[in-house]
Amino acid sequence: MSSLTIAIPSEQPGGLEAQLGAHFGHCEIYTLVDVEDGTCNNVRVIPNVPHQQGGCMAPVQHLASQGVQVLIAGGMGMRPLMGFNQMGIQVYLGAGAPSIGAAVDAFLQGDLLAFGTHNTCGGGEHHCGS
Amino acid sequence: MRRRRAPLRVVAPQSRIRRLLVATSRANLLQEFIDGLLADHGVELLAATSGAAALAMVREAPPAAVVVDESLPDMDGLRLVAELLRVNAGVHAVVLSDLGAEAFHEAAEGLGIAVRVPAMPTAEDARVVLEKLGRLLPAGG
Repeated sequence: MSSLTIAIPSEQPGGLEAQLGAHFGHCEIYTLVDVEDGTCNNVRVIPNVPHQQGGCMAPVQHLASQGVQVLIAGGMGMRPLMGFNQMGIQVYLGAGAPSIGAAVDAFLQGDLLAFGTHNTCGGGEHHCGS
Repeated sequence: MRRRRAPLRVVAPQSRIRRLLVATSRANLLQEFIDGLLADHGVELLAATSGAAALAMVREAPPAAVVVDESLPDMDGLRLVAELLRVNAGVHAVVLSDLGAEAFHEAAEGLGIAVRVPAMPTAEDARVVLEKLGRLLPAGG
C-alpha cells in the first residue's frame, strides 16, 4: 500500500475546488491531499507561515514538518526549490491546472513535469511579479 | 602608530554563536564592515578568497550565512549564491552590490538573498546585516 501527502499552494478557501496559488512562498494557505493507492482519502487546508525577505526556507520547513512528500506549484524561486530537493520533497510544475483537484489528478496520471531550475523565478523562463 | 587589523577568525565564547563566512578577495578594504560584524561577540567569522573556496567550506561545515562580495576572482557574487544554493539552501546569503534596486531585484530574483548592502559597506551596514540575520536565524543557528 503506497501513501503520500501532496501540498499545493492555494487561493482561498483551499480544497480541491480552489485555484492554485500563483507563487509558492507568498500564498496564504496550502491544500494538503493525502493519497493512498492512487486515491485521495483526506484533504486539509493549513496556513502558510509569514514571509519575509530571505526567509524562503521557512515554508519549506513548514511543509516538511507536515510530512509532505510532493509539492505541486506554479512558481517559486531557486532557493526553496533547492531546499525541497535537499529535503527529499519532489516538486512538480502545476501552472495551468484549473483547480487543485485537477492538478492532483494530473499528478496521479503522471502528466506533470518536474519543476526545474529553468522554471524558477529569474531562472530563464519565468519571472515573478514581486 | 598603525592600527592593527582585527583577525578575520574570531571564536567568541558566548552561547549564541553564528558562523558567518565572508567570501571576498578584498578583505583589507572591508575592514570597517568586518569590524562591525565582529562587534557582535556571538559571531565566528571565517574567510574565503574565492568562490571555489567558499563552496568547499560550505560543503565541509555549513555556516549560518555567507557574506558574498559582488565579484570574486573566479565568479561573480550572484553566481556564487546560486552555486551555494545547490550545496545547501539553508545557508543564508548576504550580498555586497552597488546595483540599483531594480537591477538587483532582476539579477537576484528567486535566490532568496537575506540582505544586500553596498559594495563598500560600513559598520552601520554590518549592524543591519546582524539584525536581519538575527531575525532569520534561530538562537545558536
